[in-house]
Amino acid sequence: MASYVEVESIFYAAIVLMTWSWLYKGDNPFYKIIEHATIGLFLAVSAQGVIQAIQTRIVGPLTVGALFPALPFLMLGIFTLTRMVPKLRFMSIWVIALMSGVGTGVAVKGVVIPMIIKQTIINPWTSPNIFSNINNVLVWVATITTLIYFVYSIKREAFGGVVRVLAEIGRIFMMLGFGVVLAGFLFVAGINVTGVGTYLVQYPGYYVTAIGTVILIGYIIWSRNHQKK
Amino acid sequence: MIKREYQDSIVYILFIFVAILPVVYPLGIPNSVTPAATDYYNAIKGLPQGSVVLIEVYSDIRAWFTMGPSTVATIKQLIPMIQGGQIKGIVFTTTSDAGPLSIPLIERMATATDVSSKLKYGDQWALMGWIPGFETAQAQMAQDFRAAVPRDYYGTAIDQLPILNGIKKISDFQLIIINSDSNLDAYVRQWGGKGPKILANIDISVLALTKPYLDRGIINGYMTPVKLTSEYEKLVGFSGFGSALNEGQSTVQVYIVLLIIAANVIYFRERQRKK
Repeated sequence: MASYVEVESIFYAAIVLMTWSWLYKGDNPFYKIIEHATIGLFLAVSAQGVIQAIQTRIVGPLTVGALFPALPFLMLGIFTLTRMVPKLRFMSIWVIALMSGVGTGVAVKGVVIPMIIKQTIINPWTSPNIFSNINNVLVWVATITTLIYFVYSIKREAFGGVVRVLAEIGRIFMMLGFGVVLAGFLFVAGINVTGVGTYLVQYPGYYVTAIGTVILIGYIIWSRNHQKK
Repeated sequence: MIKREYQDSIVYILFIFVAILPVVYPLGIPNSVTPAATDYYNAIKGLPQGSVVLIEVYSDIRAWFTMGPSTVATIKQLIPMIQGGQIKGIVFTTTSDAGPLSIPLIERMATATDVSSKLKYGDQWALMGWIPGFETAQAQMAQDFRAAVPRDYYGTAIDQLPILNGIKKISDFQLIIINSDSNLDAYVRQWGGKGPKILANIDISVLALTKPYLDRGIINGYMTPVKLTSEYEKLVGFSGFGSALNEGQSTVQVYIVLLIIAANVIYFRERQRKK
């Protein structure tokens, strides 16, 4: 009798093969099944979490008579849903305004020291570690030139074209930065492919891979014979 | 010449083959431990007696392969410290926008480390579940943790969880470990500089965004997927998924570089041909 882990691995291997079937036949029935199942599962888990949150934070306190703050929040939640009724839509705008205001206020409260004051400190350029010094100089140059790139109130030709040169350097640093971020996304794609691929090449997933390969070869032979006829 | 409609599929199939090959035939690529992994390990090892560690998970279950191994290794380092009495325990929370999808990730990490059989729930570890509101929830946790999280994931009142005795605000934790595949700005704003050390388990693409906080000491250490995680696993003393994925990553990156070179060569050849 197969253990739960073995059954789970077989299941995962089948899901991976069905997803990757897109590479051979595009939008095929196997891929569509998995696509719809994934979206359905995503929505179901999200809905379960939302219902649980409403239950614990609104319904639970209301049932034991703790009206505040559950009742006002319930009212605000209902007002949000009025967005779907054109005549009552104005009520949802107030809720959105309140949420935006609270969110902005909360964010601004914590931004001053870690994100502004501390970021104006320059790391030393004359430490014993020369690579650290070079790095700190580059960080300083990149910060200044990137900020200059976004200053549109000064013409690029100002100061004999110096602003244009500095802005161009800033643009190059931004390109490097975006390249690093893009490389990170590619890196994540690689990790996920390796990770899910392990289900196909380790026990018991390689049985699923073998069966899938036989089915694929059989389908290719059948479709070629079918075309000849 | 290969038909244009098959070219993309062939590139992807080769990508899959290159990514999976080291899993079947390990290449034995050497892996030395860098200071970043050592700093992260020592930050946890040096926790004072009776510490309570908060592990905040922002990533969701889709990030299991990227963000899972690093936190699994972290929990594996923490468990013997809890069993030995050096630290009190671990508390898991998520304030993520995708909170309901983060809970399965936490559960999967707990299963991978066998937390439920090695530690006593309520005394040595607790799962507080999803606290909706993201930054506003974090702000409330910073000021009044017990009001923000009145119950755990299973409905038990916070007063009945001994691990959270004496925890009134975020500064009562001794260490916060944030598992996130997105930027940490909100966490820095609400929890930075409040007292507890902060360690970041982050995606590699987020490292550049986190560097300013690392340099200023607002975040005290970081861990990134695969390479750094495999070094950390070496320090903790086991070979986990990070190590298994490490060689696959090396082959994938070589393949990507070769693709970039090939694409540029083909592009310039086509340009010359047109001239």
